[in-house]
Amino acid sequence: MIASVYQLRGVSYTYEGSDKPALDIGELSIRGGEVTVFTGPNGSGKSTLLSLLALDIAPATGDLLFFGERPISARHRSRIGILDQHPYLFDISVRANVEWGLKARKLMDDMDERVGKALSDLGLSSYSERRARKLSGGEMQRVALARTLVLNPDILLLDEPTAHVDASSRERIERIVKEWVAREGGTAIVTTHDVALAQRLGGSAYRLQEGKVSASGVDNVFMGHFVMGEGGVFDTGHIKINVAGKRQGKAVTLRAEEVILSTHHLESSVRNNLEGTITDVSLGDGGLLLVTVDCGERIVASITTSGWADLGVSVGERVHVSFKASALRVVE
Amino acid sequence: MDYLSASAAVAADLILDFDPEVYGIVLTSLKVSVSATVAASLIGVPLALSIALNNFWGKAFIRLLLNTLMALPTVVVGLFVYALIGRAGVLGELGLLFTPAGIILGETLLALPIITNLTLVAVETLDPRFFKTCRLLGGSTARTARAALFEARLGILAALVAGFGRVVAEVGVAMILGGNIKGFTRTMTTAIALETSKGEFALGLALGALLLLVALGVNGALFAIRRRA
Repeated sequence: MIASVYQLRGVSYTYEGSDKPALDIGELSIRGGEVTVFTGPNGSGKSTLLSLLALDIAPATGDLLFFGERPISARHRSRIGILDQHPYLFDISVRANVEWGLKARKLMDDMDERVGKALSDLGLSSYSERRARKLSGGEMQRVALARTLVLNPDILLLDEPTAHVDASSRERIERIVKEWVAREGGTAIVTTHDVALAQRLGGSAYRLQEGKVSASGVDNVFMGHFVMGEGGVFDTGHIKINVAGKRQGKAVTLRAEEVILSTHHLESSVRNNLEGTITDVSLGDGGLLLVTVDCGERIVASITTSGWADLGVSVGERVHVSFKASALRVVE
Repeated sequence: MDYLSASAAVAADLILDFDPEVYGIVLTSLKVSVSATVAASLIGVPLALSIALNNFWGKAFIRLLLNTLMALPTVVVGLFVYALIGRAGVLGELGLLFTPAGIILGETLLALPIITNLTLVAVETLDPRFFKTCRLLGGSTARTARAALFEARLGILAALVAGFGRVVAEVGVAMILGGNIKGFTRTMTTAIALETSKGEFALGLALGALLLLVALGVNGALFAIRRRA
């Protein structure tokens, strides 16, 4: 595993005609061989960050090191594969689309084998002779991913990769990306507004807000639905959660620092009280500990080391988990 | 009015009886127009692709020039080429004046700015993601050009049809450089001009109808291709 694929120091980028930088990063290091996810709403700087990482634009100020090197050349760019939110497919067959980059780079020795494998991995073997533009959104996204992965990039940049695809394509794309990272030791960098996707892909998570990057995205994402007739009750299939405010959405998120751990049931106004078994304790940002508790759903709590010592529990032991209904954020 | 309807009846007979003179003129017209369109395409399409895919100083001026040349009067082209291939011209020794090859040369120059400019527009208005994708996949300029040729094929086909339409319907170049020699350089448009000046409407009407039929056929084919795509 490469320690650091990208290193950004004091990087900012301002678009022409704007007086506010679209991106303003103090220090950011992206590790190789894992998935890194940047979440943030529209206009938070995700696309600008991706263009910088794709070496498409140069930072206005600061340093961007790629595999520890600078300046950037075509040789560097050829190590990067990009999957756009709305990829452009040539108006030719699926197979010809996947072959395009290999032919362009004159990598034709084992082309048939590589293309066959890429098509098979993405579940596209039976579509290979069909016109790419006639496929559904999810299938087109898979063709674009096959076309990118067949070039064996070191880095894979994905911009909202599953925003407009059906559930089966989404699952396959997520699985393929995770497998690719595990098998090839590749580095996948994903930008998305979908915190649930960030959770499913795992790896390092960052949040982008008004062009600024902050460490650790949302720690807990629960998928499910609101229960009809029970105002504000969200059912994950395993646990029921009381949520204040908006009552429409497919997911709710909860930040780890909002979760309270205790060895006994808390007598308070907190509406969510659960009990579970501690399954993991790891070191988080700023010297805090991240404690994972299995309450039917895995819930991550952030706690200081002294707080952890005061609790006096360890992995495998039972613990009470509490959080306010107002601490949950509903995702559409 | 009677005279006109009588002429129309004679024109219909000439068409339906496959009059050798009428169809000989049509054939000459088609031969020179198709040759000129092919020649202009072989030069204009690669030229447009190289302009579209490269950034260089003076690109905006070339666009302006091509737009201006699209409105070039046919007689001006005829005059210019006449000066080149006439007896005293630089290319006078080739003996191209008053030959089909002379008309083809003039009409090629006439179609060239149209085909180049419309192809340029077709390529430049391709989805911007096309160019980005080619670059990311490592496509060279030549490979990107080949892909652009296919992706913009309908626009390019329309450019070729516009070029053909311009040359098949023009009269200035064919008249000045061809000389309207019967059975040799007489085209549909020069024959119509001649017959009209003689007050012989029948042959002119027959040729006019066939000219429209040719235009209809070419545009119909383009329409069908667009629908299939």
